[in-house]
Amino acid sequence: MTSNWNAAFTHARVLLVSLFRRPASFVIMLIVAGATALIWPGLAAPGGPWFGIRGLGAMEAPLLALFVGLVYLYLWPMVTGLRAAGGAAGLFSVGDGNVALALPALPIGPKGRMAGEILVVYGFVAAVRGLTLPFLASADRAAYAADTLSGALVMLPILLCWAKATGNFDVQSGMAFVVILLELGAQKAGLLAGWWGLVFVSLVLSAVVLWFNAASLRKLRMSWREETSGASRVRPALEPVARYRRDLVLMPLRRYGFVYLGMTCLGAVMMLVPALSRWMVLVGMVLSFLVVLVLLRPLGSNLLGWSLKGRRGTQRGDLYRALSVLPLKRETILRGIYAYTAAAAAAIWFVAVVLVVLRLSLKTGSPAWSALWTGDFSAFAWPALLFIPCAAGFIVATAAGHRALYIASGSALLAMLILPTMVLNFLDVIYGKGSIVPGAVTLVILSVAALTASIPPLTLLRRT
Amino acid sequence: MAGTELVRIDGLKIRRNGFTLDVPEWAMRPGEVVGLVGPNGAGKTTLLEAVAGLRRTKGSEVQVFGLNPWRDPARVRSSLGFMSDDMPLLDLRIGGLLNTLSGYYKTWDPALVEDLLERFKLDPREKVYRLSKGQGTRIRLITAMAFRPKVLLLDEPATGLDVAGRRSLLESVLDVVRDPSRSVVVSSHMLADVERIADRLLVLNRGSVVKEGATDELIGESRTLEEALVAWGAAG
Repeated sequence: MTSNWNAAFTHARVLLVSLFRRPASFVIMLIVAGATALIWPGLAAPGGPWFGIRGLGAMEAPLLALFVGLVYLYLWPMVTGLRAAGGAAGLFSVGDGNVALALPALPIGPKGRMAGEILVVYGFVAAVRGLTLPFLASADRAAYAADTLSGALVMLPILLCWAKATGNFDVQSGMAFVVILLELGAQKAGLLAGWWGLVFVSLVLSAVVLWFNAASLRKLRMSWREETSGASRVRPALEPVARYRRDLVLMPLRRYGFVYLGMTCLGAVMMLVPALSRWMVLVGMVLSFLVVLVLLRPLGSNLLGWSLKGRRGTQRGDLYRALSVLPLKRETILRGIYAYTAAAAAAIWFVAVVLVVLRLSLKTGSPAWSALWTGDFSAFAWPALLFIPCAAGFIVATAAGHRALYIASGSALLAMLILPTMVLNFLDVIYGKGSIVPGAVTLVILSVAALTASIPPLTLLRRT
Repeated sequence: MAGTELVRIDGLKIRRNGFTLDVPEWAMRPGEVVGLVGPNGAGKTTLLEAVAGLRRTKGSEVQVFGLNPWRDPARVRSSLGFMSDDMPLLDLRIGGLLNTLSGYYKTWDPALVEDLLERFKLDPREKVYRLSKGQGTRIRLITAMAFRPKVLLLDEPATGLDVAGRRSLLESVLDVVRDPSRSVVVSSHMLADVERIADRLLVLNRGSVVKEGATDELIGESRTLEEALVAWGAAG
């Protein structure tokens, strides 16, 4: 920890010296720091103006205030963050990864580097706002200082998005956008109304961004090594089964961790921000589709075959075939695919349930975990668990190219999605709302379909 | 003799969709390059897949290193490389693919990989899905050879290769068998190439063994392999 802070101060000093030597950069930093005296976020009540931006509160059109606030929150950290780091590394090296790749050669790690950049930006803000302090009435000074601090907390996770350690402009800008939306959601949820909430939101989001940055840097280093000397790199040879299991867990996270987290964040924003909830279903469907597409490529190859081309002419997935020449048993590969799919489906179920409960909690103002046991939601949440073994069964049958099994489990899976609602509505008309028959018949149909989809594919997992 | 055999087949019969592969007896010893030839549908790929443990066989019909490759694929394929022209690859960059695969083999040889990449003129930064057919064949060859397997099974290794690529392929195969403890089976329609490198031939037609023996003895001096196949009725 000490060495990180030492590194941060050293790096900040280097950046400052570099900025002083570039008058244009120095002036830009002064101007954007001066802008904070006019527009600066801070504590904000749920129904109040967007982050309580000074000067925007008087705006009559709330949408205009929202727009100006969003643009400001997006641009200010980008300009200051990139300019501060650019003083040492060259502003336009963003995106090519030069800075991040040079990091291993410097005696400053990525954490120290990021902290150094933040120190420089906040140093300018503190200096400019400190200089304006004497011109304020003494009664306003304490509020001004508190305003400076609260604004710095709001800006912290956004600024971290622009830390040069990530080195990828697309990732940085996407991350900043997501963080701003999450902060907007937090404000609407009332979390930014008090100091504790603000500190909590700022630290949690900063921690997530730091994790993103670290993962991004790791990925960048990996791809750099891949590009420069990839072929000569060798991973430690484990027992093939252990290596396969480890790859199935770690490789999807390394390759698509950004996508999973990004999709979850976007889904959370759509679910939790009331103003956006009208698009929830549509966006939820699109996000789910994208997540499923990504999940179906755990090691970079499709679990399912998408075409009928090829000599074997089946829908057998490329992944299974690509792995089949490795020193692994057939059932080992298929068990791994089954476990991976089941875990992925369970994760989707878990995230969806947590988001719905959070949304209900925000609506009612108190934790709504009881919704899991009573009410309409429980009638969907628990039966949805049946999809986990069914999806795993279907995927493993398809990945193995077992035509009879994937047709059976796929049909049963479709039946699970379509039949219960149809049958329930139909029998409701015949037996009336009070009857238990429709519910019982639907349950039987659901159970039969679930068993058909999930049990037969298990035969593929047996030892041969 | 049986103790030194890398691959042994005894009464192999595989039936599938009206096709039967019948190989009564065949063995491969260390240091041999075996050419597996015959027309389309002769059963060459089926035989190679059975030896690689990718196709179920009963009891001791097929033994590799004295093991049943279907029942003990982990031990067999740790020392057996299989390459087929339609074998999918993990969709990564070439460097990433080779790095990923290296974790599965204790005998992975990075120096050999570098050498083969240079020989086959492949860029580790290239993404696998962007490779041409010939480049795909080359990277499949590298993945099959990189861990210095004792038995190397090549199913149509020359598919999509240009002249330089085929020359590099032949050199690589000959390099493999410079180590007398290792052997190669090459199944190919490039008969001139097979004739050039194979010590022994296994000729299949419609699932049955037509000829088996030393290349020189089978073909004779006055004809080519192609002419011999026509004479044996195994030219398709």
